[in-house]
Amino acid sequence: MRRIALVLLLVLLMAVLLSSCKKITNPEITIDRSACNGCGRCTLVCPVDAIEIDGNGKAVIDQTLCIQDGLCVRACPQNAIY
Amino acid sequence: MRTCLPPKRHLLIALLLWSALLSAQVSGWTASSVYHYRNLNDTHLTGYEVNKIFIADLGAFSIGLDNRFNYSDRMQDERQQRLNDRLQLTLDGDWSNLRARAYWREEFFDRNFGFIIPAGQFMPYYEDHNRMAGVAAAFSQEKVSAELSARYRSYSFEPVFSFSEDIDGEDLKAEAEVALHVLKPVSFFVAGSGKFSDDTPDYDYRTAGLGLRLELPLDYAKHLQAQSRIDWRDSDVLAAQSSERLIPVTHDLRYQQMLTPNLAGFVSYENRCFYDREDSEMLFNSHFLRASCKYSLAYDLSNGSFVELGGKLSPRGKVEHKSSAIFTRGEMMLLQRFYLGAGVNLMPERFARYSAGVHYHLTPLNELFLDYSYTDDLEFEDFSTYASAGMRVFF
Repeated sequence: MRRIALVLLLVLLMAVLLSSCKKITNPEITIDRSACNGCGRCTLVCPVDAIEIDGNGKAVIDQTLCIQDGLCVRACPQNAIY
Repeated sequence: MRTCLPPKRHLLIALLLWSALLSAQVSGWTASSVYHYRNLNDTHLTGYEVNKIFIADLGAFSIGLDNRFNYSDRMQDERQQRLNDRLQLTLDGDWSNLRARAYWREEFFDRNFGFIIPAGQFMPYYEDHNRMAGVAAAFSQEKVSAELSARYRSYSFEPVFSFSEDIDGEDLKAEAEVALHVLKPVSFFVAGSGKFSDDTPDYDYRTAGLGLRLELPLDYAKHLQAQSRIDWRDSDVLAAQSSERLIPVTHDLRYQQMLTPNLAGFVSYENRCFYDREDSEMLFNSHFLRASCKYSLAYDLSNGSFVELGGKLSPRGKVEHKSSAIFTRGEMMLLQRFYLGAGVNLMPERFARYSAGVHYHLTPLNELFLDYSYTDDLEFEDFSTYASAGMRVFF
C-alpha cells in the first residue's frame, strides 16, 4: 500500500510538472539510453561527428556539435533517438 | 599524402594484441562476417564487414579485444568511403562493490567524408584517424554509490580544400555521479560532466546536475523505475544559440512486467523541458511514450521463436524531427535449425521499412543468415533495398 502511494505521488508530481510545459522550444535530439544497443550506425551517418559510443557501449550526442539534421533519427534501427 | 588504411603499425599492434590474448585463457570469442548489397538512388553499393571479439577471463579481471572492419565501395571525389577499421582493447575488473574498466580504441579511415564546424562555419574534411583512451569506475555500497568516467581522444582531419591545413586535435571528456541511498527506494544524486579542448575551446562545455531516482521492484515479475533531474550547462556555443539560459529538466518513468512466462513487456515515458531563466517559464522540448511486448512461442525450447510488437509516440506538433514509430518483428522455427524472420518498421512521414530473412543454426549459437530489406523513403520520395549474407560464430 505504501509503495503504491509512493508511485501515485510520483506520477502526480510528474503530471503537475509536465502540465506547465506548454511552449515548444527549438528541439534538441536526445537518445533513449535504455533502448540503445550501441550498434554505432548513428555515428556513421552524423556528418559533424557529434555522436560517439561511450565506454559503456551507448551512443552519446554532443549538443555543442549537433546541427539537428535528424539523420541519426532515421538511421537508428532501435528507434532509440528522438 | 596522409596515412591510408590499414597502416603497417596498426596491423602490427593488432597482431601483437591478438597473440597476447591467445596466449591467455580465452573464455570465448565471437566472429561475424557479412557481405551486403545496397541499391540507393539508382546507385549500387556493395560492402563487407568483419567483426571479431575475444574475451579472456583472468579471475577478477577480463581482457577483451574487439576489431571491426567495415568496407563499402561508395566513392566520394574518387576517395573510398566507409572504409575503416576499429580496434578496441578493454580491461575490466570486477570486485564485490567496485567495477572498473580501462580501454584503448584506435580507428583508422580511408578519408571518411564529413564536416567540422570550427568557429561556427562548416568545413568539409576527410577523417584520417581517431584514437581514444578511457577509464570508468563504478562503486556501490548500501548508502552511497558513485560512477566516474573519463576519456581522452586525438583525431586527425584532412580538409577537402587544399588551401586549408591539416587538423590534428585532441579533447578530453569526463563525467561523475554520486548517489546517496538515504531513503530507499529513493536515492538522491549529483552529477557533473565536461569537455575540454585546446584546439576548439568554443565547443567546450561543463554541466552540473542533481535529481531523484526511484528503483522499485514490486515483485518478481514487476519493476518500476523513475527519475527526475535538472542540469545547468555552461558553453560558449550553447550561449550563442541562446540555449545556455535554458535549464534542462528531464523526467522519465519505466515500468516492466512479465505477464506470463512467455509474455513480457514494458512501458516507458520520457519528457524533456527547459526552464527559461530570463522569462521564468517552463518550455517544452520533447517527449516520447514507448511500449513494447514480446511473446516467445512455447514450441521452441531455445526461445528463438518469438513475436515482438512495439510503438513509440513522439509528437512534437509542427516541429521537425518527428520520430513516432510502429515496429514489429518475429522469428519462427519452421524446420529443425531453420528459422524464418520478418519485420516492419514504420515511421510516418519519414520511411516504411520491410525486412525478411532466413537463418540456419549450425549449433544453437552459430548461424548462417540471409537478410533483405526494402525501405520506402516517404520524406525524399525514394526507395532503397538492402541485402546481406553472412555468418556468426561463437566459441
